[in-house]
Amino acid sequence: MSRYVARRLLLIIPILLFVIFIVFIVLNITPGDPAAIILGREATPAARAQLSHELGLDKPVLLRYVLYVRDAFRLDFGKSYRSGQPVFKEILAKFPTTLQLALLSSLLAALIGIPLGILSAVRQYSFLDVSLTVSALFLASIPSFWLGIMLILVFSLGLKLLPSSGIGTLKHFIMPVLTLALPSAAYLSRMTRTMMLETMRMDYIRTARAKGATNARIIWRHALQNALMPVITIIGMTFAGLLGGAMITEIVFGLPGIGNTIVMAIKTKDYPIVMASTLFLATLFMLIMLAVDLIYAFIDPRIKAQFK
Amino acid sequence: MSSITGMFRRRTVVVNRSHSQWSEVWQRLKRNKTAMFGLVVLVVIFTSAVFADVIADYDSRVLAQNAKERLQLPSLQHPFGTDQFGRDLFARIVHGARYSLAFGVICTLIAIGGGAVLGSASAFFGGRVDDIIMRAMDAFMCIPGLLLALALVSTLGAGLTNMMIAISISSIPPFTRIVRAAVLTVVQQDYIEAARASGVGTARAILLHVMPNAIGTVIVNAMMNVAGLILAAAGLSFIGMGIQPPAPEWGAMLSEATTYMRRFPHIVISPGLAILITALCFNLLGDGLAEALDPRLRE
Repeated sequence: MSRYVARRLLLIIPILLFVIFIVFIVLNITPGDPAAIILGREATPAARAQLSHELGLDKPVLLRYVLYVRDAFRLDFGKSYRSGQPVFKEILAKFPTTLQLALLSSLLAALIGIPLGILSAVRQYSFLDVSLTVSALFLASIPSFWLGIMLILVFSLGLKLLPSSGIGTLKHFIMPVLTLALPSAAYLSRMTRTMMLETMRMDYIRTARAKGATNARIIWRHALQNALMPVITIIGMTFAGLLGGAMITEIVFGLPGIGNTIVMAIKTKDYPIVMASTLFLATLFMLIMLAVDLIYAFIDPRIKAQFK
Repeated sequence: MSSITGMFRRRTVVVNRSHSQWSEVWQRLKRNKTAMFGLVVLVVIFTSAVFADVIADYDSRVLAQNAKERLQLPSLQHPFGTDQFGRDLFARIVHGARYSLAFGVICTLIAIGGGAVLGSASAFFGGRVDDIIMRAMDAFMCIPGLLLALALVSTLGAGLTNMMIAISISSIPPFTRIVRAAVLTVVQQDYIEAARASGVGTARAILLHVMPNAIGTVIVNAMMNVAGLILAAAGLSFIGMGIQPPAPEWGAMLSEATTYMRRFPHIVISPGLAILITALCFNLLGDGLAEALDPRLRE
């Protein structure tokens, strides 16, 4: 088991190096001249060249990549072009908002999606199942920013119940969380339904039925446990996806999270922030997926047995 | 060197099989009401996008501002009302369909092309090639898709072509995985080994024998992908990183309209509904195709 964990942890390093490489290449295609961005348009060419030299921008791309990786392992991601603050500090300051948003949304999505998915599977082709299928496709097709706008229109501007932007109280989180959780809940319920239906067709379910087990016992004791294991992976993916995918929702509701920061940084060409936040989100994504796989390995006796 | 009868037999078998298979799929799809609804609405949207210039003139009705008719509610003359510059929303939405359909369909086709080449190479050659391609795809998939597209747009510059490149690249990895998985299940089957044993070259084997069998999964995922990309493109334009106003792109229209939505909600409702309905129809069709292609789901 520990060998498995070690192997998976080590595998993160080459993927991370590759992620840095991709982002490095992407941001270096035609990034404009960062020195010009920092100094403004009126700066003399000499001053710009001087600053480029100080930032190490006159070195070849590959060398800069190696240096960046070296610094990144010491959590030194350079300074923001705009504020001059260390990038890592700025990102950490924005992280709690994004984390709260993603945690609350995936929790709500799981609480809604999983029970509905199980119900749909147990009553396949019932009215409930069909209407859930249609509403799941409906929610998968709503642009998140428009869902957000509609919520603001109804609850802030119409009923005047909830604040339309900012943070501070739990009330501020209700609409952003709904915006993110509803489509995820729909997806989760579809997946739970599929897994449950697949499990219900297994031989051991037929065996249980033949033994004379009640329907409730078959569902609770035999099917559910096995069907819910893949669902754990999907919850993990949802959570990881929401951490990086809440950009537009954060903008619609004016939440000062990482997504908002990234979009601002991209608009103002503040590349150190863009680089570091992309890396930060990609690393989190990998760690969450690793955690999911490990949970899986612990609770699934079939996988556990392989490493005994 | 196959004999003439051998060639003849192989051709007819392929044609017959695929013919009956696809007509069966079509029969099953026709019985699915929601999927047919999606298909019909999509045909309408496609047709109006093609004939957008006939329905409403671009310069006089989509771009020209008219201060006298600002922010009107829907009426007979303006079915969806007018926006903050007095432009007819119906005309703008009809023209906007061109952007969304072009993004969704063309970018998905590019992504399928990329995914087909990488995925089948990965599955067919295995070993080192497989390792390198799939690790690269893993790395790509760790970066949130929209963020990758954003970063690409920011360096390439906003605009139609660059946005399409950015969006296509970010949806290649999922198709690589789908094609690889589909090809892997097919490659191990006896008829592929038989084809290879009889001297069929690798590329030919992939194209003629593997692809037709992987295509069902690809089509279903393509439909879902088109829906996803329409949402992504609208999202990019909404935050000002895609198509810029005054172009009638649905996301860009929404972005401009939010300032006025408190008193004139109709101007944020129609562009949003346009995105929702288009994406929904692709999803309905994809869902129906998934069932039609794999009747076991219906059991």
